[in-house]
Amino acid sequence: MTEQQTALLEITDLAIDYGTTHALAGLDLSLQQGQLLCLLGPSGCGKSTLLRAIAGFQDVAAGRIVLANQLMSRAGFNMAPEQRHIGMVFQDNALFPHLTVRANIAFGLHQWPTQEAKQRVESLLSMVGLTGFGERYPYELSGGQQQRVALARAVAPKCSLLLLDEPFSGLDAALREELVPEIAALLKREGITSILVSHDQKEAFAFADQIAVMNHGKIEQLTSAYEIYHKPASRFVADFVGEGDFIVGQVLDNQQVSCVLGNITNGTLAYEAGSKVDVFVRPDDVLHDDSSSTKGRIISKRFRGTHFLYRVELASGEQVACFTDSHHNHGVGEDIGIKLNMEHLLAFRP
Amino acid sequence: MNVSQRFKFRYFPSLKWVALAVAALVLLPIVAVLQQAAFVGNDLWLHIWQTVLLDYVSNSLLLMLGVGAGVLMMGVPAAWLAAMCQFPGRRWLDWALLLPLAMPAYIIAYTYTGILDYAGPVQSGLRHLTGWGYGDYWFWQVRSLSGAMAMMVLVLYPYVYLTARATFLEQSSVSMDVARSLGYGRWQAWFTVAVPMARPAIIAGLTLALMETLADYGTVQYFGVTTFTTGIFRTFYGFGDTAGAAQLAAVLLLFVVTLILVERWSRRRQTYHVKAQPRAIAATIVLVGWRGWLACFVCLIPVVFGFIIPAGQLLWWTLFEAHVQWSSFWQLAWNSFYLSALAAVLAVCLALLMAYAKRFYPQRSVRHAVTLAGMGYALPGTIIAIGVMLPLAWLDHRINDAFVWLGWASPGLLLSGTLVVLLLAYCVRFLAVALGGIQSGLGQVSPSLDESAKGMGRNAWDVLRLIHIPLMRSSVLTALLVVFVDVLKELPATLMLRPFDFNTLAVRAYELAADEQLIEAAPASLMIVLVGLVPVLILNRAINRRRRRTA
Repeated sequence: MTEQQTALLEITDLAIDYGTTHALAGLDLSLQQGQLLCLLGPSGCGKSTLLRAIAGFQDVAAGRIVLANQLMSRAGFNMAPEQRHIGMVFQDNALFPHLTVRANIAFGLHQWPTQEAKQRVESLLSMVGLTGFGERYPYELSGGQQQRVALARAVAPKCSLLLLDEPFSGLDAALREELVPEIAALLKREGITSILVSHDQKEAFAFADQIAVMNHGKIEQLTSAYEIYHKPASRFVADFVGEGDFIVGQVLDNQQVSCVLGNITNGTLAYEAGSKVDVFVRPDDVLHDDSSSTKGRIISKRFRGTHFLYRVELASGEQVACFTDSHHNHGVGEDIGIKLNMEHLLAFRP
Repeated sequence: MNVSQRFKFRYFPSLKWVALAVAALVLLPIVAVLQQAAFVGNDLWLHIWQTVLLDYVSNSLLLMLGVGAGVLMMGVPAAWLAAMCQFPGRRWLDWALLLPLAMPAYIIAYTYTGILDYAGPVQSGLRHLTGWGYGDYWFWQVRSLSGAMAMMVLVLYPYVYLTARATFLEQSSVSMDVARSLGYGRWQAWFTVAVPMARPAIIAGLTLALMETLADYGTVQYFGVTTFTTGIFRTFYGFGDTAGAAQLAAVLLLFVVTLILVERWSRRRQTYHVKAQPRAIAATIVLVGWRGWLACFVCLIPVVFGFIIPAGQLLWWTLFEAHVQWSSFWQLAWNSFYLSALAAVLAVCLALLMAYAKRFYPQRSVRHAVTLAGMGYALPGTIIAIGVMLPLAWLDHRINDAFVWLGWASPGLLLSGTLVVLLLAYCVRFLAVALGGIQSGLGQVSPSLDESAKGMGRNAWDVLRLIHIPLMRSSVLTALLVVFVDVLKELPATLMLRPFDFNTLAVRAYELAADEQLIEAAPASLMIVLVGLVPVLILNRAINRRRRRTA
């Protein structure tokens, strides 16, 4: 990671302990003004802890958090959350049920002059598309509307950074699909630097410029969605992001690996010839081809409308997944011909 | 649904009418009081108005004001600390704060009088230490309006504590985090977010405590504070003036109705306060050092003064100072026991009828009847006593007339002079308690269980025997127990309606205290407190179970 003077958020060598266990250790992260970052990882990976540390709800054991050239946290020092000017949207939206939408949004504007606060609330209502809903109570709104109010409330005091702690996890899939890109576009348009915490890669892809995949209190990889998917830096990232299987391969030379599905020629390998590697195969890398001499037996199948997802057992006993279009209807137990069509070879040390 | 409807009608055709009749029974004392109050001359009313009413009103209002402020100050901080913070002794204090619930106000009043009056250990000790004599020093007179406030605060704060603690636990800690991320400091966030969100629940607890305050007779009578209840009692019992008592009761009823409306209103607002789910992460704020000990101290005060000191004193008196005549004591205990048990069984049976009527006939009339039957709890014992006495006495006279007309010997007061009138009063007052327990128990027996059993070819009695009875057993037992204890503690209605020469523990404690024999009153009082502990422990267990389930 290159050090840049313009970074808005700069986290260096951060460690957080829960009693004797390390929730985070040696974590570095920097974020530019206006960027949307997603912290993606399974539950317990430390992503929420990191977010709470940035917000100031969590003390740090080592390292430092610097926001806009101002020290927020280091060991033994923790600037109070209310002094950080960091907005936060919470998991269950946490709107105050006893306040109207307008009062909720105005909640953080208690130090603003009345007139300005009023104007700010109106402009925020129109920003999130809820003009005219100001006098309603949260329970009168739909889940998506509530979440938009929560967003408006969080950004109302003109925060320098917005944190979103799994704010979409309570919504149903269809609504999420609609709301996530909408909110991402809104934040981009308003130039609000944001960090989203999520365990859902679809959400991460739809939201973020940059994705930091986290595991066991560390950032495994920090890059764009495309790179994360097609060039995972570690076995964990490959496995966590998208579907896929590992099969055993043997390195032939610096460009070729042989495996049970044939030889793969692609990319540049950093492994010595003759060594064993695990090749990562995604379902869209495996094509159904009746003329192929490589056969696999169907173990299970799932109909997904536009295509079938078959699980196929290979001669070696290993399994891979295979997408076919939905006209190729085969039964479980049937042998089908398959062939490999891989754009990027992904191989990891076993 | 059709099948089950048919089965209900075949087996329980009259259940609906039973429910309506029970509701009418609860309504009876109110109607009787209002009727009696409405049909008497104005001059009597004028007399009451000119002489005592202002006194009653002002004392009752002052008492409510003092008790209200006191229970809030004692209940709310303790609830918040117990729900949200971690400090030394929290786990123990969490349930110990409920203990004063076991202590009836009149008993704590007798006990503190014994402790704090001129001959009591505190003043004696003070004189011994300083060498002062009588009249040399000023000491707080516990038998006063302020004393009555203090006594009631000490035993009534748990209502506020309970409701406030429950709502603080449900409040997601996130609300506080939201406020802080929007620039509010810790204390600012507490006052702008946590307390306003808990307000409906706190108001509900407060109105309960105030209803008890209005209903209290034993404490204010003993302390010589003239309120509605003492006024009603004196007018009815002392002057034998039924109409005057009924008029006072009608005014008291106005207060009660106001409180009920306030409570309803606060609960209506609460409906939108129900959060999605309480989050598992309880925001435990760890209080260390002096803050922790301060929190411990704040929670300890109500427990020590509301339970430990008075219960300890009662125990001491019983063991070392009272001259207990065991034979008469056991006679009293037996009287209390069978009377309470009879009332409990009766109230729970009526509650079961009501609850099943509502389940099988969820029509508007039946639902209203059940709600109405739950109102009796708000009625002070004095009102109920007059309200059941009047119609039963009227009925007794008609019966006597009939006997005389037939040429038979007069049978005496068959209803109003026997335990019948007492049992009826208890049922009116405590049906709500039984109904609450039974309804929540029945609520857990999902109607789909009935239907699936019927789907497997079982008939209605099988459903009752194999599903309802096993599932309902514990809530029925709890309801029985709670009513039993409430009846055991009840004083004013028992005092007014008991048959001649019939005594209970509560009445005996009252009589001995009235004769200034506070130490002799201790064994009966202690017995009432000990029995009263049982439902408190059950309540505590139920709360813990619920919390474990949500955690």
